[in-house]
Amino acid sequence: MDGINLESVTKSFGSKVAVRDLTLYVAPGEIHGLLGPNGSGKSTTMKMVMGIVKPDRGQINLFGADVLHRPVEAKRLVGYVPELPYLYEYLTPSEYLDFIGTAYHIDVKTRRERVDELLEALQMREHINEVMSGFSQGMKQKIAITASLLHRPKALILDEPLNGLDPRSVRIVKDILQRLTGEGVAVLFSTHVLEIAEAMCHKITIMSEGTILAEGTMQELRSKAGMPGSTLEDTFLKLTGSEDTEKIVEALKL
Amino acid sequence: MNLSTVLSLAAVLFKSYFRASRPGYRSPFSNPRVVILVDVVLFTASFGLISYLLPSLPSDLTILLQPVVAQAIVGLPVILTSAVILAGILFELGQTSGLASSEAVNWLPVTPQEYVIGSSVSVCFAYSLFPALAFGLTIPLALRFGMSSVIPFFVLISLLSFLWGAVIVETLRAVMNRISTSVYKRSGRFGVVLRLALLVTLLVAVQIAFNPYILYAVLSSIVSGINLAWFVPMVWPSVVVLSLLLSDNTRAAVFVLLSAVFTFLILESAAWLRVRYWSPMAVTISVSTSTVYTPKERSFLWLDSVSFSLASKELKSLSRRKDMARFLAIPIMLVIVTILPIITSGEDSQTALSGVSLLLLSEASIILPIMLSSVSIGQEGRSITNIYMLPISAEELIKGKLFHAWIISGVAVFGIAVLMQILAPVSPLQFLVTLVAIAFIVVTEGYIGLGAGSRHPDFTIGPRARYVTFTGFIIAFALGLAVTATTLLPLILYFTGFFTILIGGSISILLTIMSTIVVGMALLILARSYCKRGVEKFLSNMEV
Repeated sequence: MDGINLESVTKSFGSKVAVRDLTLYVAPGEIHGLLGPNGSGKSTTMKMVMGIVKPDRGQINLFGADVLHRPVEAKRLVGYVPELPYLYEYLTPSEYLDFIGTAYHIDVKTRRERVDELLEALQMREHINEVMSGFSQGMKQKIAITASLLHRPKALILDEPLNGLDPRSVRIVKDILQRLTGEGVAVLFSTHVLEIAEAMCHKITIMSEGTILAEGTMQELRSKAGMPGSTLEDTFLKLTGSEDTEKIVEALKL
Repeated sequence: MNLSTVLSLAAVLFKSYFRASRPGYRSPFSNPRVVILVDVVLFTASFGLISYLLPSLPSDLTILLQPVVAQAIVGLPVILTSAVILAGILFELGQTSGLASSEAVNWLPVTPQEYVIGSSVSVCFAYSLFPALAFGLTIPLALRFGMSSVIPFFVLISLLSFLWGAVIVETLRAVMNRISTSVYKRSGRFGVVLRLALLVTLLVAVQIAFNPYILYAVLSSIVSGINLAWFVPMVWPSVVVLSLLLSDNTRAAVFVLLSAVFTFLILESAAWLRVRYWSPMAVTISVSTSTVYTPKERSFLWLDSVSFSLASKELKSLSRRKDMARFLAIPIMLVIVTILPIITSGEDSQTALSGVSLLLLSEASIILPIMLSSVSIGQEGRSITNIYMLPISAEELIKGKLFHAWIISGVAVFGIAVLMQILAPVSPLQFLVTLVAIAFIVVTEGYIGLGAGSRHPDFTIGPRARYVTFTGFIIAFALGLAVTATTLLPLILYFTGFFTILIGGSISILLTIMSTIVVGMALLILARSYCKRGVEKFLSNMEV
């Protein structure tokens, strides 16, 4: 089956259930937003899709490759941007992207073309031979995004990929994602910036305490919340039961 | 200057300094009160022990001891200063660049003077075991040899020297921060190599400096040379103690005054340097001026392109991260620590060296590959996410992770073997068997180290990071010891004459070679399996 499939996936860390019986499908060509408060299980879900964290129960399938039983094959199909860009900071982007490209078995010619075009687009070409320890968070994020796109993945797992990026780069990444979905790439995307999710995602899943609270298109979510015409922020706050923010601010006596 | 700010800053810095090192994390020893208690216990125990032992010493030994005690009391202030400086520098070298700055203080309402004093006091606290032990050992001796009138001054001036060391560390931090930044920025790849060479040299120098033979020579020279070096501020506290021992109170008073002025000067200098240099600059180090991306793909010996890429990354980690430089200094330190006492002892060094030759080779062939391979997983820190997210198989990871461990250990152990063959030669056949045995040991230990490191990684990146848990370390070394002992068994049986008695002299060396190969191969296969299972299990689930 094409796309990203999770079936009845559960993951616990000790007595804490991080993800409970989660079933999720991201179709090819779809940007699927994964939203939820801190600690709701979004990052754990993404790590399980990547084969980084092993679920206790359930099945995960990426474009026909079983993540649990054929992890290396599954990883070849997917690009990942973690919530923080954990790069090898003692390497230069050139060395790091060489490492990534070699791991994905991308031939030298394709690698040169891909790196050149992506770094040019993200305005990182002039930093190609600088050691990354001196980079800002945004610069590191650009390298992480480049690394995730290098091998033309069929699926993208992006954990808050726009963190730290300048507005121009945000726009470019958004455009790249739109183009890739046009080519059939399935994108699982998490963000806390609800305006971005509203503008970009075809479908949205709202998670809380490891389970799905609501799922569907923006229209479907508004209906579920009983708030037609509302913004995603209002819908999100209603569905997650955290709409009483005014009272909290008032109680602060600032 | 606000004293409560200084003290609370000192407490915070002490805790972060202590907790930054993994062993102190969540430990009661990160509490200043507990440290004071430990100091008191240490002082009392050492004081009590020396006081108990002194009366039972023979009188001729007591006479010999008197000048040594005087040397110790006079030399202690300088030694305390040096000890804090060395410990402080080593702490700095153990830090990764990400932890090198304390930026938060820069935007708090704290004056540079308050920061420098607070930080220096915290460093004094961190190394307070030094003076506690030193006073516990020297005060009963000073009392025994009639130097009791000097003790209060000796204690106070030694504590001042101790504080000097901490302030100098503070100064060096600021200067090192600027110098390393500038050198790195301007010299690119050459700067990386230069810094690595300097770090390794410094670590080896520290090891030599703390060799007991060298320490004794230094102690003697401090006392004999103190009158010649009176113009060096570092020795002024020692001049004070010496003058008091010689009842030259005027000279003592002058040098107390000079020491007070020097204290003020170094505090002001440290504060000025902090203002001038501390704010960390954004370091952008270019290893090439080109902005063109030139992809590389290589394979080498048994390494395919993925494993080669991993191995290349590991070597860059060793050469570019200052916290990893210590692993390159190990072989040099090992040789020096073993050989230096023998050479400087003045005895028949060739006989003594023959005795330690096999021991040194076994030490090196256990320690080096196990150290390098067992830390290779944990040293990735949070960047281990890259390994998990990439389509890298267990086999590729093993090859890539072990290459540098095998090559560095192999070259180092072979170098030591050749050095020992020059210093204390054995027959060519015996040398050959030794080489075969250590080759097997190096390869097998690499597998064991990675097997243990993948089962028990410690991803904490910080000063004195271990990169492998204590359990992993113990398992790796226990297995490593067993492997080395078993692989060397045929050689030991040969050297002890067992094989000669068993089958006759002419073919006993052949039996030794054959049995070494058989035992070595069997252990290698077992170790490889242990390593592969560990890495496969590790790759199946990230627990960072």
